[in-house]
Amino acid sequence: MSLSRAKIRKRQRMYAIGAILLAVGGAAALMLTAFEDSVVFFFSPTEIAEKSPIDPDQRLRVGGLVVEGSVAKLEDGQTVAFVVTDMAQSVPVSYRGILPDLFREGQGVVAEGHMSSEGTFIASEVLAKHDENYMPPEVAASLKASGYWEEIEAKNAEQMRN
Amino acid sequence: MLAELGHFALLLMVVTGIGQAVLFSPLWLRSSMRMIAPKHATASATGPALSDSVEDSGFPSVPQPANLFLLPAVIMLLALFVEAALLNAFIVSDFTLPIVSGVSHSSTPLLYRIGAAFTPDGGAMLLWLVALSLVNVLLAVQLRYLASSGPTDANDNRFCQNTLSIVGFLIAILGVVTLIDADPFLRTTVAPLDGRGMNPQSQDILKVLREPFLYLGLAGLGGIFALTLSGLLDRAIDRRLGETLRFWTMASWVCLSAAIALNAYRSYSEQAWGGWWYWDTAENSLLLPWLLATALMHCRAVLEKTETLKSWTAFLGITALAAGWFGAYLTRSDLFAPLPETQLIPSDSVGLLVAFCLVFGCAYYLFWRAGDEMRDRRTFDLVSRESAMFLNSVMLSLIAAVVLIGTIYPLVLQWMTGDPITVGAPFYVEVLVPIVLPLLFLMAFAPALRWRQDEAWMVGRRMKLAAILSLITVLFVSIRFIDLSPAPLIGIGLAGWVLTASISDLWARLWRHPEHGESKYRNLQLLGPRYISMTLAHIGLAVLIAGGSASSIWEEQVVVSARAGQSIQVGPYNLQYEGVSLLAGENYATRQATFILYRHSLPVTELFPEIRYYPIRGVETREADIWHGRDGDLHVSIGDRDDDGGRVVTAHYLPMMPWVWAGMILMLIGGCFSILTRIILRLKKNGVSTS
Repeated sequence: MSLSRAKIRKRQRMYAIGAILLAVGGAAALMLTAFEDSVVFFFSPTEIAEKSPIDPDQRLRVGGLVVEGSVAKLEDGQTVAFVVTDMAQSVPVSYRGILPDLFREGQGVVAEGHMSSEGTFIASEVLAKHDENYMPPEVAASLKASGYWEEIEAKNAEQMRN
Repeated sequence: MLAELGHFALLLMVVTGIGQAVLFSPLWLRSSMRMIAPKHATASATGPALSDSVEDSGFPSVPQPANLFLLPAVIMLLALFVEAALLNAFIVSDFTLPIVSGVSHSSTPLLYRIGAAFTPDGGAMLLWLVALSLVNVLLAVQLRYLASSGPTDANDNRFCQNTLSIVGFLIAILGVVTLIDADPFLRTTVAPLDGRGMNPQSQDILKVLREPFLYLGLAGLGGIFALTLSGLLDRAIDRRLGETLRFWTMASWVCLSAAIALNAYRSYSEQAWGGWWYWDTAENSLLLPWLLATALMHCRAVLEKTETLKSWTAFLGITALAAGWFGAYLTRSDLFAPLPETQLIPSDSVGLLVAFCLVFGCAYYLFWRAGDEMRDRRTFDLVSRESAMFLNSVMLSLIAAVVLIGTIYPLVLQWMTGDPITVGAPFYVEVLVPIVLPLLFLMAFAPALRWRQDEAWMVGRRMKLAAILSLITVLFVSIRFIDLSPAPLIGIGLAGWVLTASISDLWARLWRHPEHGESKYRNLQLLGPRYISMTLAHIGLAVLIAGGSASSIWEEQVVVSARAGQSIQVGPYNLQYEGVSLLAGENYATRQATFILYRHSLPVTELFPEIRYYPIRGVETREADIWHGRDGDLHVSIGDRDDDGGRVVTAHYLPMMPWVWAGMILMLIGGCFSILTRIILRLKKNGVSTS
């Protein structure tokens, strides 16, 4: 090799920078496309009612309170149907599988899945909570938006007093 | 009383840490001064040897190597005392401490009372401090040892002191953060009658074990950080530093890997869907430092071997701790989900964030200032092992960047637009698969490449066998399962590629000098522990990827409503549901189902998935039960009872899932093998040289 050491070093640095730029550029492009189609947005039942019909291919999350008395098992014995509400609007949800540990009527819940064309939310996942007092933050936000939050707070305060 | 003593010891520890930072630091301060204002010190900065003369003029003299142990030993004892005081409070259930009453209960079993001590903010920080003081002592031993075994000069002494001074500084700052953010020894005036109880989801031996491993790993990264920074101050990012870093990169990597493996297995056995990685914040914050530690481990080898990639290695050495620290901040703060578990005092871990900015602001500033001095003197070709390792570490860092962005993107978007979003598995799969697959492809080349320069056609010749074998695998798999999505198939093919390449390289090396008439055993010895541990870890990764891909393709899920005596067909197995019995655990009641597992109508084993009810918190948890068969895992969990008396049963058959666990274990064995053989060799050499 007749190239001087400085030249080799320069070339080497160029390769290194080129490799890094290529990798970073590729990853950025990948991430941008992924943010476009695999990020899951959260909808409250009100937003679903406003935006319907929603493309059945779009994955989304819906959250709210499980309406008391709405949980029912369908004939096949594995699919559970329930209604999620933010006290302004409600969405029927169906889920095939085992519900998470802390699923209760009247409690907050978040389900991930897609809207069917009949307007039922087909959940592929119902998310567990960490703690019995925990309210998923999105659910809390949507309840605040619908004005139901104060009522819950008052109820909780009353329970604490008893 | 013991808690107050513990509190005092914690304060004392901070003071001693500052003491260590300052006492060892005249040199540290001076060299930072020199770096910040190089013009004033040009006379003394021309060479490290010259700085000796400066030491005599006015600066305190260098502590002798024997004195190096004093402060680290004191800090270690204090740390052990503090931890013992906290554990004691948990063991005797001292509910006057809010930290105890928040996460423990008098009915919590002893093991989990101890485990609960690690979960809240203050307890976790304390664990980190204990681990860091252990690292402090080990560093002192190692540096003293290195200084005594080789030719010693003032340079070594200075390096050693700078390092210990930085670790002392880290201990002091983390101690202060603990005291400000989440002082574990605060007492309340009115103690509750009993505690709130441990979060039932954490009440598991794997979860308890995860914490020590995680914080040992983070503390090890702290040691790497100190060594790197001290190398930067000395402008000596060189072969010796690479050698010193060896133990620390390997040890941190092993600890972090163990934490990840424990976490994965815990998730797997807890949930009903048979998955083992959720991409949630806690897992991502484990993954971040692990990825960077892996990248660093490879660059360090390059640094030690050829003294190239200096600045990149130094950058990774700093960034690995930054990632771990930031991850700790993410899980400790309530940025993502309010975790009542860790929120005893609503401090938001601001102190940890401020300290993060301070420490890494300084560190990156020093790195930037030293940048020009770290230029590599040597070069390497495009086709060489160095460039393979470099590419590898770039890609690993890229993966880390993607994970970081995926973790904080929802936060940023919500902050800016108010849209609540979730970034979950689909995002990571879509972005990471195109990065991981080429990484695997390139990974197979590295062991077969020569250092400095190599010829592409020669590499091709060496890789011929592996290429043919893996092509056959890919063809076989893709012809048989043509209708499946391509990514997992490519995953299996590449896993086969890595596996065959590793084995054929090992084979070639074993038969390298047949003419010498020496046995293969001699060749095995010549290979050295490094090569063996590297091959083990690479094979482990290949096995893991193959298992993960295969189980994701061929997974079978059955959800049925079962009655006693009913038989459920899953994959090659038959599960017979026997019924549910009510049992009492130590602090929970459980509905335990009994299943008899049959294969080809022969009973294999019995499985007992449970639903546990923890009355203290009023929480139910599900515990799956798993049978690890030869060809796959059988994963069963139970749900609620139907109105008509059946019980919902979810059964998964996950073919090749044991490969995932075996791969993780192989990687861990590889790491441990490397550390142990190194220590044994060291001791042997030492024994020879002293006798």
